[in-house]
Amino acid sequence: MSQKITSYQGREITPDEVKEGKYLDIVYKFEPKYSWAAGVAISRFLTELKDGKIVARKCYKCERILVPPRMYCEQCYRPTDEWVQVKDTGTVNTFSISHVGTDARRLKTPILVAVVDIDGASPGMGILHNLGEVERSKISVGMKVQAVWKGSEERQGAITDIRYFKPI
Amino acid sequence: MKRRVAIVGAGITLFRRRMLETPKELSFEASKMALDSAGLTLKDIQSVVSGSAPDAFDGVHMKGEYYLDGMGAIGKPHERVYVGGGTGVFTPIGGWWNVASGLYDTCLCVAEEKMSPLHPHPQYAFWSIFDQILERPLGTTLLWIFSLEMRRYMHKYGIKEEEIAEVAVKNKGNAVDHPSAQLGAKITVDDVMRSEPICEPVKRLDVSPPSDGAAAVILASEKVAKKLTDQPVWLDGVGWTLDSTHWTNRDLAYPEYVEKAAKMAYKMAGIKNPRKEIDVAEPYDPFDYKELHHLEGLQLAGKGEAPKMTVDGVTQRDGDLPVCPSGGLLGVGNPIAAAGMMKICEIFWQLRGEAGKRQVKKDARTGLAQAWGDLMQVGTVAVMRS
Amino acid sequence: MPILEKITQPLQARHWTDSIPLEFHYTAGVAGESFRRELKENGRFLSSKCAECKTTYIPARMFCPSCFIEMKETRTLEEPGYIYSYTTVNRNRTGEPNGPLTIGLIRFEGVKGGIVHKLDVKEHGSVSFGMKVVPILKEASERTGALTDILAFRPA
Repeated sequence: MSQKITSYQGREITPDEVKEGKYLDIVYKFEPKYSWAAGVAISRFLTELKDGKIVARKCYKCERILVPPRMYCEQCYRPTDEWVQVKDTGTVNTFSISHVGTDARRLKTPILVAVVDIDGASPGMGILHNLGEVERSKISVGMKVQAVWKGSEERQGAITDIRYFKPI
Repeated sequence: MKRRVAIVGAGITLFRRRMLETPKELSFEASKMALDSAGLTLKDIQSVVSGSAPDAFDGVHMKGEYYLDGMGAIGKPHERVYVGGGTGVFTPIGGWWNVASGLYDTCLCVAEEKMSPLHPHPQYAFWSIFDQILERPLGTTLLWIFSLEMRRYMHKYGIKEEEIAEVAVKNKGNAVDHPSAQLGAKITVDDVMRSEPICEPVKRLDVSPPSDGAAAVILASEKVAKKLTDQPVWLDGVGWTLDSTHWTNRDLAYPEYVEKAAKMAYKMAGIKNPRKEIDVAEPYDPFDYKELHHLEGLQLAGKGEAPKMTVDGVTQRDGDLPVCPSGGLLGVGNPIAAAGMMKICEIFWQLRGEAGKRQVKKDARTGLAQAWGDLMQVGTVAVMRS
Repeated sequence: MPILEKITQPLQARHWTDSIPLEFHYTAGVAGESFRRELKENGRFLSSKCAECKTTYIPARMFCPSCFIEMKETRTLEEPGYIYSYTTVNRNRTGEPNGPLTIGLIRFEGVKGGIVHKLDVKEHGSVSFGMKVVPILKEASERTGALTDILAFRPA
């Protein structure tokens, strides 16, 4: 704020005032529901997950193998050309130990999170997933990991068909 | 032929966790202060550009249409620009289009954010910026992406958490001198290290707080600016670029999109050697490591070298390159779009020598403000000169 | 070149169903807080008046959007409102049959703004433009300062 300005505006509501109900808040809850189309690439990706496989798309121009797959290459700006099955193993690009959930509330058991660069795809092609069967202090960047799948009858064609990645 | 654009006034509200004011009222307070400081009334304003982050915070769809009374925009050409967290610096860039193009001689630029309506926590809205099929089902929070980026940055360059914590110590300390600040405090690296781990390596004191607030500046053409003030601050370079939302495919250790945005702004402003020519900088610091990340992307530090610069005191107010003399988002608060605009305001006051206790020691003639956001994919940069 | 590979079997096209549940706690604001207090405590409508253009606004506002100055003068409206426009609604928000419900935009003589509310009338045909109306209020003890403190407006 400029030193020329001596008063500044704003009326703070303190946490105590909220608790006391000093102000007349208006509360609304709503829950809009969506059905998102997965599109050509992700529909196939999900179907393959149900079969216990990870698939990618290859662009013949830049020769990158892309995970998650997309039907166009955003760098070459042309359609991608071929489905490629990649491995269910990979390397931890980076990881975190999350003590909070989606709504920022504290979790009893922390979630282990990682970007896993998938073997068989181009370097740096990572996906977001969880880590499991590992002690927190043993996780490191560069660690080799493998997908732990749900049983075939449990799989529904979702990213959670992979329970987590574990060290190998 | 583009015209030169000046900033001639600035205003800001308090930044607090929860404010009584509605988004309209917050906008009015910041806009009115900016007008008063420029010696203008609403009648002098020809167009209005507003900025605000996702509608999900304020809880009002068509937020831009809702809050515009508070920005004096009724019956005037008004547009709302949006690039997530990058919006605060993108807002005066939007205003720059209005004035540089010759369309208008005066433009009021206002950024507003009221994050407190969303319960149980504003963080929650960020869940829905992740991919609904491949990422949200994993229980994603915004903190994941920050902690994953911070870890990769530390790994690549061998940076320690203690070095990163120096940024939080500096910025929260600087904010003690900012009358709007929410979290100004004298803390130590130890305090940061011992604060509660939220999403390791991110700890409580590595993070800026959610806030309510608004900030505004007034842009004018060269002709009008020179009539209004003998201290115009010129908006001489602007830049912005975005990367893909495929963030897990990206180099998380270096923000290339910020580099591209910075180079665009430097070219426009005729800056050849940013480290020598920029006297004071306000890079976006929602997390302490982000200030370092951005200093590198902005070419104000070599790759992996920003931590050492910080530890050496170069980025203190009395250093060779003062960084976030305002106190940044870490100290002043983070009402998303308003926080980016707060940085524009700060550089404006610094270049006019009006920053009071926060005034940097060196004679600052050229400054830079930068914001960043969306799904870790946008850089917005403004270069300003006195 | 377009994307040539298409999904030809409808069942191969996947959809993902989820929701984005949200909860908002809105503050009424500086002027809104006074407006709601007046309604809750005294069952009256608070307006504010601009010292420059002399316009009176309802609900009360903090600032005059035209003159761009803070409005300090407030006044409760004592006179009845009038019907500026009205409609009859036969379906609810999700399109299911509901009602009929007659809704009016109620304005006040010499005042800018208005209140949208239910009209307590037997049938649509009994409403007319300019018809004077007054609020039917809940008991003071039940009022929360929300517009639902008013059950409906009825002919004065």
